[in-house]
Amino acid sequence: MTIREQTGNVDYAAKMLAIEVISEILATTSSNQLPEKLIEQIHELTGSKTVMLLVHPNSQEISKLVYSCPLRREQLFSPLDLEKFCPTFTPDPLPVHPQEFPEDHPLRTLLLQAKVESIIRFALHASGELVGTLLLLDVPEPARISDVIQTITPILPLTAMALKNAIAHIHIEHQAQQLAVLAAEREVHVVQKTSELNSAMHLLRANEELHRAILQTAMDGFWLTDTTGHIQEVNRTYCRMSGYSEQELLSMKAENLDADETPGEISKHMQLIIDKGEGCFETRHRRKDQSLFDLEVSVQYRPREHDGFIVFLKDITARKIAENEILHSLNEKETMLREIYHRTKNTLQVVRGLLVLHADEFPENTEVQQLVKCTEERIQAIALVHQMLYASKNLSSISIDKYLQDLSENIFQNSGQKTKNIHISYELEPHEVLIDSVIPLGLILNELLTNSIRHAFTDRDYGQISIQLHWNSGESAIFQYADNGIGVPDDFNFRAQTSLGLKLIHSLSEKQLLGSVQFKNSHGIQCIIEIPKSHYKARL
Amino acid sequence: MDAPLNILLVEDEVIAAMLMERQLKRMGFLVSNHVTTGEQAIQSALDSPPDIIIMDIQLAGSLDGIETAIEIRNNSQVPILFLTGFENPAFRERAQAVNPIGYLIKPMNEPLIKELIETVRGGL
Repeated sequence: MTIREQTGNVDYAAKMLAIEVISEILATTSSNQLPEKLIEQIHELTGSKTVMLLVHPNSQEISKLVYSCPLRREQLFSPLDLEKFCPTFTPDPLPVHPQEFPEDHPLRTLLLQAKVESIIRFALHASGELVGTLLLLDVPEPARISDVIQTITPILPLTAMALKNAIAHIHIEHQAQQLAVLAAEREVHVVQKTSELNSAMHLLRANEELHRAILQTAMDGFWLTDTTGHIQEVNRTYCRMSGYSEQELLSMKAENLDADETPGEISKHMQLIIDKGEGCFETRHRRKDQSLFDLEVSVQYRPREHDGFIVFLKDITARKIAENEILHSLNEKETMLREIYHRTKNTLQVVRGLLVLHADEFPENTEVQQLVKCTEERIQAIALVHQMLYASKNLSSISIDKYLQDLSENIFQNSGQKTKNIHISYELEPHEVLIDSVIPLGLILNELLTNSIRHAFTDRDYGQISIQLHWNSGESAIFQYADNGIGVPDDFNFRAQTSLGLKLIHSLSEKQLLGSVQFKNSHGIQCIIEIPKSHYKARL
Repeated sequence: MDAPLNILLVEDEVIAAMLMERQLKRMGFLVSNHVTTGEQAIQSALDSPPDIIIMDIQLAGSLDGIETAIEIRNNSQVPILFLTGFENPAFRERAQAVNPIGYLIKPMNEPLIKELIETVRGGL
């Protein structure tokens, strides 16, 4: 027996029923299951073949759009078709029987195809908002449609509220799922990043260990210091070099080890390296046993990573010893070479002495005296070269200007009274000339000068001699000699003469110096020798 | 006529010494003794004090001419004239220790030597 049958008052019975239904559902159902429970109750109350609760299409982003009882009837309409059952505003009452629908009504065909014989539609509002639609399909006859409507109407607000809550619940679940997915993705990302970070850290540590191993096993010493020179890191090589332990060195500063610079000088040196960014120098350090060792130090200032110095220290003690040995050997050779020049000069003096002393045994023989005198002068010209080489810087060349002047003065000194009133003017451009070219030029000057002293001024009390040497482009030269003596007869052929002096002048100029010689006989003798660029190469 | 000067010639090269003796003779001076080492020179200066010593710097034996002159200077103010084969500033500076009357480079500058010896003779 229905409530209406019991009470005879449909409205009252419906409300009672609604209270009964609500009480039972609220007592037994969680909020997310309310829609299913409600339509089950409505299904039972009304005896409808199908009850559907449609979520309003505005309630987006949820997967659950339809609640159906029985559940198998959920697929009665496609989701797209179901939307057509959802009014966007409070609907006009639909005809109950599909046959009564206008021919062009969109639901007519749908209902007929689904073989639905009757339909009752309710709009569901919660808090003034349209949240869904309740469909009762195939309400059994002879139940009166109006009774059904009257029965259901009281529970529509609850149904709407339940639907809204369910939608909210679904929303929350959906968001929770999205958040869970996001969290899972984030977790994967975090795990991945953590893994990458761990790999990078591992690689970094491996690199650091590798670098440390390289520095520890390097042939050179290594320091890391702060800007005051305090050692912060040191490798085993430097420990071995210095004899100090790593622990001892880590409490020391550069100034405790450097033996060549004072703390003040080291401080200035470090500032210089800071200004320039790097530096390389040689110094000596003091070992723990106080002995010294030579180092080549390479320093880089690293303001960004470290604000201190990276220092590599190469032990160059062996190199320094070798250098000193080479230097010593070089000095020895230089001394030896000077000694050879010295001895050569002395030997020439001995030869000269023997000639002179032997000539003393023939004081009346003018030819012997003349021969010895000329030879003595020639030997002196050569000996002077060796004397000057002994004192020269590079041991292979001498200043030709100084040599020619010294030679002239020596010849004058040894000529005694004859040169008393003879004046020499010099115009000699300075130049360093190899021994190979100096000796021929010295012998030529000796011949010219001694000839002038002996023959040029025999008819007068005074004389003037001019000696000039000019260099073109620093290499080829013009040597000019002139006296203002009596000269020679006009038909005098310089080249045809048999005297050794003139032969020497021609031969030495042309064959040894590869130059040209020209004599002029005008107000005395003039001799011009052009000397090309020296064909001798430095031998030292 | 002036008494001949007593000249001590210290020169390790005998030929060079013979040449110098010849030149000095030509200038009118006679060498009274010629020795080749510093040790001989010191002994000679003690045994027979000379009026002037003409001294080479590089000598045979363990002493050079300057060391020899310093040793002689301990006992005598005899005028010393250095005559050496090579200009050497270090030697010249060391030589000042004995206040020599000259420091000349070979070959012998005859007029200059004659003038120096004459000055010594004038001071005797």
